[in-house]
Amino acid sequence: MSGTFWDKIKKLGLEASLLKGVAYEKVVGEEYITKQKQTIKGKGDVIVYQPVVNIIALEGTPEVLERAAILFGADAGFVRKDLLLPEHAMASPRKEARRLIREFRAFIPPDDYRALIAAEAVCNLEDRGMSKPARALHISLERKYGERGGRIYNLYRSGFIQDFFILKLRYTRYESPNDINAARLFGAFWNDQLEFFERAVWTNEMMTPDRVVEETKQRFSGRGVRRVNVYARGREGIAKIREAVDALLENDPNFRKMEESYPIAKTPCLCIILEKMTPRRRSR
Amino acid sequence: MITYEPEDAPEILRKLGYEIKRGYVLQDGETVRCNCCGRAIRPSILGNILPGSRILYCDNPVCFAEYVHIRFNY
Repeated sequence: MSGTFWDKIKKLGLEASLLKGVAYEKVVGEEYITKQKQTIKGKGDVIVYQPVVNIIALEGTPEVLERAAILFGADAGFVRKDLLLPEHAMASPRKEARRLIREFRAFIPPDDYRALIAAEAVCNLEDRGMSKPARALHISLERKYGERGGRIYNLYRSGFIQDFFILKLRYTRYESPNDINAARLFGAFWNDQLEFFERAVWTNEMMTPDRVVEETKQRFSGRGVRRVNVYARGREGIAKIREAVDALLENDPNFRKMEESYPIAKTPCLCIILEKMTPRRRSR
Repeated sequence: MITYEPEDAPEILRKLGYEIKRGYVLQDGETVRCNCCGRAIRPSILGNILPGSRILYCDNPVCFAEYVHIRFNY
């Protein structure tokens, strides 16, 4: 451990034995990689590389808290223990994710930007199999930013921020005479898309198959939309969207359907991609 | 950062010079609020006391994203 905080702690004369760090394994961020030998059935001994992070925090033992005022003067902050992991997840995004999210900084409202920070933290925890803290942070995100926060998470989780929106932002900036103009244009686009995103339907427990059909049809009805992704999480959700899509295709066969299955924090998920096909013209 | 258990919040706040009156945290007689969402801070909903400053956040971890945004130049 190093840094000005620790230097100050030492200068205060706190005994090293009092300074018990809070450590987590298999957490967000990558401070260093450990090598572990594991025995895998059928493969024998393998070396497994695993990112390990020690969160730089002191456990607030009674002896440490006794000196709270002194520590505070040394630029120590206080965090409630159960919040350390989600907050660290936000403060330590994946490098590529941080680079990408930062591009949006001056172009979307500050609250949406913070929701994006939280969304990346949720996804990071999910991708590391930490489903409970991920879920808790997701709930906090929606508690703070409502449906809009939930939509930002969905867009981020499904890769639309990383593909669709970033390209749109970069193109807008390229085409605009300056960033002020680009911010105005992209900001308007961003708000429109957050109000109604016509390229995807994210289903939840409360949606019926009929509602899924309705939402999907609504998206295809507008402005030359030719492709809509329908997302579900969990076995029941997956069964529901399959039922809905089958009902849709029964009434209108002019769609091509593709399925992509994937897990999120060990929960099975499905994306059904529907593409509208142009009906064939009959030759004379 | 120093972690604390929820039941230690009142003691920490008092040690840092805050007052707790009728369940709410006060500083110089004024109710202290979450720097992000504006919720009036009670010890039970205290989340963070930021290093070297008098900024407090409530226990919604997403409020901390404000600090991450500005302080960490994210």
